[in-house]
Amino acid sequence: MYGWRAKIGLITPMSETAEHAFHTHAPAGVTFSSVKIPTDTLGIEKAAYINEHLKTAVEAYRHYDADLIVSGSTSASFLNGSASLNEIDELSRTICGKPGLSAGTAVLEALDALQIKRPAILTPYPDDLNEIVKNFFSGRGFAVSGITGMDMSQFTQNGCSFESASEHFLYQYAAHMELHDADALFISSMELTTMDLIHDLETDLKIPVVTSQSAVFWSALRHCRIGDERADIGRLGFLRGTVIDQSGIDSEER
Amino acid sequence: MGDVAEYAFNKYAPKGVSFNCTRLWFPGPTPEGLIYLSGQLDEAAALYRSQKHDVIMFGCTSGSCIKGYGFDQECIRRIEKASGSPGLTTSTAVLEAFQALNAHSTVVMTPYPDDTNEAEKKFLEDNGLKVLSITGIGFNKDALYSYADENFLYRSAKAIKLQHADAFFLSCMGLQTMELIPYLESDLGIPVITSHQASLWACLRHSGINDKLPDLGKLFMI
Repeated sequence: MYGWRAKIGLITPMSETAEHAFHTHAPAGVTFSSVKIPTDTLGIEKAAYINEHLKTAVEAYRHYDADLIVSGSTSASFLNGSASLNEIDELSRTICGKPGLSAGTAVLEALDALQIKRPAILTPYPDDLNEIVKNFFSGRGFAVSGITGMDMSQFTQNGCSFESASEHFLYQYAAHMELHDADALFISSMELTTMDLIHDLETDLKIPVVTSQSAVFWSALRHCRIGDERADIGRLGFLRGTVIDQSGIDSEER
Repeated sequence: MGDVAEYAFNKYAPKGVSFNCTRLWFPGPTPEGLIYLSGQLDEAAALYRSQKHDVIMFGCTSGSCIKGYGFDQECIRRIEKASGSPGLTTSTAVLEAFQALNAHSTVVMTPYPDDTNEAEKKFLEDNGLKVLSITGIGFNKDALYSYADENFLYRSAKAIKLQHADAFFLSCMGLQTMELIPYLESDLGIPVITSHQASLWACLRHSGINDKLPDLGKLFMI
């Protein structure tokens, strides 16, 4: 079997990008399977819709021997404070008997591992959702150095989703951010194709770059006690983090 | 014994190193079976008398420790007497591996029954190691074609409480373990010793071969 070290169940908005990136970057013996929550809404409405339909999506993993279930919508896990962060763990333990991880928790763990205090944030969200994102981080002791919402209309108006945003588009937005007070750049949204951009951005911006995809990928591995270093997802990929050993202690009962 | 040790040694050994194998009849890893196995040692070692070897290893972990403290050294003396070449055993190699890694405490995983585990635990402890636990997982022969594959061994290892041990020891020359070592070390976060790896390492080092083999864990970087 392919997933002899870990089988990770993903729940994401309708998009190919996280799934493809995770499979291509995965260490040996680690696999991902996907369940989608499709919606044609955007912004806060979309995030709320994903939270409402999370339980149904977790049900799809009921009879599957996944080691971890990941709710992979960053904005959805930023709504309603800690309730949305922890909901997937509760649902997954109840329905599947396995732990769960939200994208928001993964991002917090990644920033913590890198000892980030003043992140700049780049998102594809509208202003009202960005306000929620900013308050989410400020309420957890971060001094957000700035938040930029990218104009995604060229994609959404053409019936395309965020995953269509090109390397050029994302790179230029990141490169033009005001970063002199930031100790890291966080690019939010699992639907943005960011994994292969991180190395170049870190080289050029000279600060750590964390994206929803890199954080979820890294944190999901560590929650499954997979300790491999990944050279292709930025500085984060070289960190072991603390959760890998904590999760070991939790799951050590035979 | 099966083909796994012979295959792994030939596959992973550095250039210019070869192995000259023979087999002992193995009734199974119970204390009685292991004593029967080690009883054939003198006759098997005598086969090597006509040719000088750098080292002759008795490649069975529990078989070389089943009679308790000092039994591995007794096996070595018997090999040397019968063959005229330097002898070694897997349990001696494992003790040397713990020493080389400066590891004083361990959790042990084996496929053995309980009474064999008790004997191995006592042997390790009498040689100065702190054995925090020893877990017998069997050979996974639950149905047709099932065996102790990488999924079974890896996941069984991950389920064991590490208790802040200095090293994890996966015992038994009958298990295919070389390929798992880097993944177990990476995910458990402590050095991993397996019978195959420690035996190959000790055979090489006793023969004056000092190649580092990074695919085979921290031990092989010493």
